[in-house]
Amino acid sequence: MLKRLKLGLVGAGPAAERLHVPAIRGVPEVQAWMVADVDMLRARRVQDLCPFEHATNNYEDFCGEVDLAIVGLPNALHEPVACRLLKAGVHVLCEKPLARTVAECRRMIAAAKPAGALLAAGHNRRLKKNVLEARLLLSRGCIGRVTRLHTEEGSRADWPRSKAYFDPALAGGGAMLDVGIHAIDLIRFLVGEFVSVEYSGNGTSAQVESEGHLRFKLAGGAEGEVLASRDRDLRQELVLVGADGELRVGLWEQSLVLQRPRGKAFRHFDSLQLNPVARANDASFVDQLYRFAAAIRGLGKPSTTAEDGLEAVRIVEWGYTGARPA
Amino acid sequence: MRNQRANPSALAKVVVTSVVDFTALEAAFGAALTQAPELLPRSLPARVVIKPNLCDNAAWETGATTDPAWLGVLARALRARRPDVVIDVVESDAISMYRAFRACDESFERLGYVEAAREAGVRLINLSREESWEIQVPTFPEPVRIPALFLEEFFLISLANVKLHPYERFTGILKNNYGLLPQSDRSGLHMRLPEILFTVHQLCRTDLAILDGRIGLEGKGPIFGRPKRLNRLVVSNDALAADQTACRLIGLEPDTVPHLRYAAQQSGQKREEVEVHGHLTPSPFTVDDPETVSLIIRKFALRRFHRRLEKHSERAMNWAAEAWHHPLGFAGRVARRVFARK
Repeated sequence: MLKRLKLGLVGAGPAAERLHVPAIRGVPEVQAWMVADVDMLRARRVQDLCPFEHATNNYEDFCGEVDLAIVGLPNALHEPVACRLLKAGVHVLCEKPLARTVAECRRMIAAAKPAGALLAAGHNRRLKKNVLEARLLLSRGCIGRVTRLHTEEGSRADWPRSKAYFDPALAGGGAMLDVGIHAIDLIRFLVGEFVSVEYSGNGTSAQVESEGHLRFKLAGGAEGEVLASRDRDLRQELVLVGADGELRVGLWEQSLVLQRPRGKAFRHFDSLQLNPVARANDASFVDQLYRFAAAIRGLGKPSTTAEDGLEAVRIVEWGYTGARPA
Repeated sequence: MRNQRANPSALAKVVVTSVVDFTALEAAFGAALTQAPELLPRSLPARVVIKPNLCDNAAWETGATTDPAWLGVLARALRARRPDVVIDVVESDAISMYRAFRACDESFERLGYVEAAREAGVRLINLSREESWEIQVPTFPEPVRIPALFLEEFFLISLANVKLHPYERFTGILKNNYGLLPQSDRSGLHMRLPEILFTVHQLCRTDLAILDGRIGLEGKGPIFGRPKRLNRLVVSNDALAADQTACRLIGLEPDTVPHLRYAAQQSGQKREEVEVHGHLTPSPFTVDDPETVSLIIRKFALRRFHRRLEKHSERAMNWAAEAWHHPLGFAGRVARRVFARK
């Protein structure tokens, strides 16, 4: 059996408890070794959940101790923490967004190269079953060339947000960087690259936006919009309209609905609900960690590379500033 | 939901022709098309899919399976209408009557389909090896796995035999199309056979239904029955009408066949909407062991009841667990408070 990879978890907040700890348990290739948080009480609680061998209040203790680390901290800390770990040769899976700005992302990627460490972004939704099935259908040309996209996601009470989420300096952005970036990454994953964006939102210099709206054009000619909100309950879905049908991909529920004007099954049914089995537990975080561990061993690539993470941040920054970051 | 028929005002048409000489298959089929040429339209789609009945590795003369000679007959008729048509013959793997896995590729080989397909220039496709999707439709309470083929446009020819069945009483086109579902073990769906057959009928409408009644199967049913010469060919543009007509030919009232009764009720099809031409004198089939029928039907009813009970109790337990764990759930808070006191 291959040697198990020692894993460190930086940040013991709700994301660690709810998403990363169950994922770590589901990947036997990694060994829960060390958890770090400035609040030792939180660190100890997460230590007991997994269980981790050690808990610490200083992530620098990871250097020389762990093989890979998951970074789940406020956005402003992604870059300094990830860079320090990468320089010490620790492979880093960083929660989305990869960083607040493109410049920060670039520094992280640059820090990874000399040490031969692997950096990946935590856009887990690429691995949701309905998203993978939507990608398969698109690759088969099931709805023809995609011409229009619409995605909306938002809720007032979907996640326990700390103050760091609302502070422009710590967060770097509001609903679009926090929530909308998921859809942006999925659009790139499913359809293609953004060639123009136009953003509007209610953020100010003192407060990040609670709702943002991004209109865009893609390289293949498709147009669309991303609506992200922390104020309203929205439909939580991505709609792809093609020349030959429509696909509705659930962003929260793992639903996938296909509608086509032609096709044997559509003579009777207007649309078909594909992937109908209710899956209470989302396996995408498990798959994400499994693929990251496999990539460290040289088997394939992580599900979302650092470059993909950078591209998603670039689109948001482009929207915020009005100019495409270099 | 949409109406399945391309032209909703068109009547379902059934033609029954006589075939005394087994080798005169092409002539009998030609005679049916002469009576109703619209059954095989000139404007055929680019792809035609043929679904024969290969329910067991038994020669066609036993009455259990479809004669491979049909491939040549149909290929010639289809190419006369559209020379560039692509013809595929499809079937799925199955768990046989002997409770053993039966690969459809083996059936293709042993029943002479590989050779017949080569001669006719058609492709053989094992749907169990092709891409498939799990879907949920309003007409069936559980998810159904369908081949990706159903998402495409094609002309479906369903080629079935006229056979008795131990608890469905009759199997024809609708039951034959059950083999379009790709999973090999479909026994779990048998307790809801009328619903699943009707769902498949809606998901993949038969454009041309052919019931080869040269040799039917009476007695015990679809595999172990006794071959009986019926010497008829039933051809129709409507699967349900074809099955109902074949039923009458063997002396069965279609309403006594559970899946035909269910399909007729659900689709609202009336007898006067079906135009039937040809030789309709019945030649009744005899049924063995009629008491077995009620025994099997009772077994399935019990299974359905058990499944429903299981589903409801699972739902109640899930609901209770969610209420218990939900941080904002009123029921959860009340429950925690109540139990904390104890």
